[in-house]
Order: sequence, then C-alpha cells, then structure tokens
Amino acid sequence: MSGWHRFANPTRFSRLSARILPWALALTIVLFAAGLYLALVGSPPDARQKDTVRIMYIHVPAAWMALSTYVLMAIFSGMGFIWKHPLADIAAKNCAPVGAGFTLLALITGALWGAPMWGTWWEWGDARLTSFLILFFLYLGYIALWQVFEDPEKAARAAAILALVGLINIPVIHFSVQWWNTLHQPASVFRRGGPTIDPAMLWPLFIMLAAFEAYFVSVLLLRIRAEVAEWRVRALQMMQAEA
Amino acid sequence: MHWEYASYIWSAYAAAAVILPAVAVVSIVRLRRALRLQAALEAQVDNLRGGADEA
Repeated sequence: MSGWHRFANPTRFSRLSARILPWALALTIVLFAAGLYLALVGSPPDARQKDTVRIMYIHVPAAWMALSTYVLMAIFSGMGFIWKHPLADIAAKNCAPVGAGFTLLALITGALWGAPMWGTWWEWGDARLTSFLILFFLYLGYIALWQVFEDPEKAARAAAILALVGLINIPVIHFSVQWWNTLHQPASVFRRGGPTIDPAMLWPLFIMLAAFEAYFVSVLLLRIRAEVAEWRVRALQMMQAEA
Repeated sequence: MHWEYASYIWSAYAAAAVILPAVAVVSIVRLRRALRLQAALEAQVDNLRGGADEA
C-alpha cells in the first residue's frame, strides 16, 4: 500500500500526470480512429440484429465504463474515508461526471438500439434498464452532495458514504439478467465458457473498450490536475490576503 | 452507407460525439483557466515577497 501513498502527494502527482497526459490523449485518438473504422466499416452486420449491431460498439463499452468508473469512484472514496488522503477524495469526485457521462451514453444508445430491436425505447419492468437508471441517479446524487457542503471534508465524507452504499447496485446491475426475466440479453463477452461473439465483432468491441479506457484516463488526469491547481490558487489567494 | 436502421445508428454515434468531447472540453478549459490563474498568482506572491525582502 505504501506505493499508493507515494502518489497521494499532489505535487508528485501533478508532475507524473503531466508526463502521462500527452501519451494518454494520443492513445485515445489513435484507438478511437481504429475502433470507429472497424465499427462502422470493417465489421459485418449481425445475422439477427442487422446493422444495429454497430450501436453495440458504443453502447457496450459505455456501459462497462459506467460500471467500472463507479467501482473505482467507490475505491477512491474508501481510500479517502480511511486514510484521509485529499487526493483520493479529489480522484473520486472527478470520476463522477465522467461516469455519469458514460451512463447517460449507455442509456441513450440502449434506447436507440431497443426501439428497432425490441419495439420499445424503454421498459420500466426490465431490471437491467431500471438498475442502470438508478446508477445514473447515484452519480447525480454524488455530484450534488459535493455541492451541498461548503466544507470539503464534510462533503467528501458524505459523498464517500453514498458511493460506498451505492456499490450494492453494481452486482444488481451485473446479475440482473440472470436473476430476473429481462428484455436485455445475458452476458455474451465476459462469461463462463468464453465469448459467444464472432471475432469479427469481438475485436472492434475490444478496441472501442480500450479507446473508452484511454479516454477515461486522459479526462480523469485532466480533471484531477485542474482541481489540484484550483487548490493551489486558493492557497495563493490566502497568502496574498495575509501579506 | 446503406444500413438498415441507419437513423438509429447515426443518432447513437451522434450522442457519443456530443457527450464524450463535451466532458473532455469542459475539463481542458477548467485546467487551462486554473493553471493560468495559478501562474498569475504565483508571480504576484513572488513580487510581494521580493518587495518585503527589499523593505
């Protein structure tokens, strides 16, 4: 754990992130260019879904990222809660808007796929759909909690509790397609027995997932650096006021 | 491209083309503004310190 603690130093983090950021941004652009080409041009239509399968190259990575970002946000929240590392709180705080963006994108693209394939944009009785909507509200609630408190320590603590309690929704989302009868199809990539998707569609999906991951790392580093700089600005303003 | 359900597909990609860059651009603008303000304040504080040392 001591390795992690080393990066809790904001100055060290800013220096390291400044070095990583250009590479992460370049990787994001390259992976999105390759992924979009394969998704829109280089992959075949599905036998049943026809060309709507192309929506999956956006929808599935967005949904995976929405879930993994929430888990990461809860881990950072837990670290901030236990070890009182301000940088862990900042990281958790800045995961939320990015995760909310992924969740919104997954909801929109899911509805756009559902309309032609299921004959409906939305189904309230579907456990996967409604639990995913709850995830979006959890992100919004978490963002709102940071705004409610003036004291950042209190805000971090309240938001961390919400993030950790909301973690219960993640297995509900994941297993909803097994626990209940849902319109949403069961897992077809990360499942026992291996993926059921043809490699011609699996590779574009993995490249798009890598592009979403690189995008997430880039934006999170940008946001944490901005927040650390804003802290420094507040400290300098106080120094000026005292002088 | 002659896809079946093309309007749904383009709408999905348009949603991604709005949401993902929007979050990134807001973050970049915020970072640039914070770094600019930080540099300006650091220069002012250095001047104040310099003035105090001379005095």
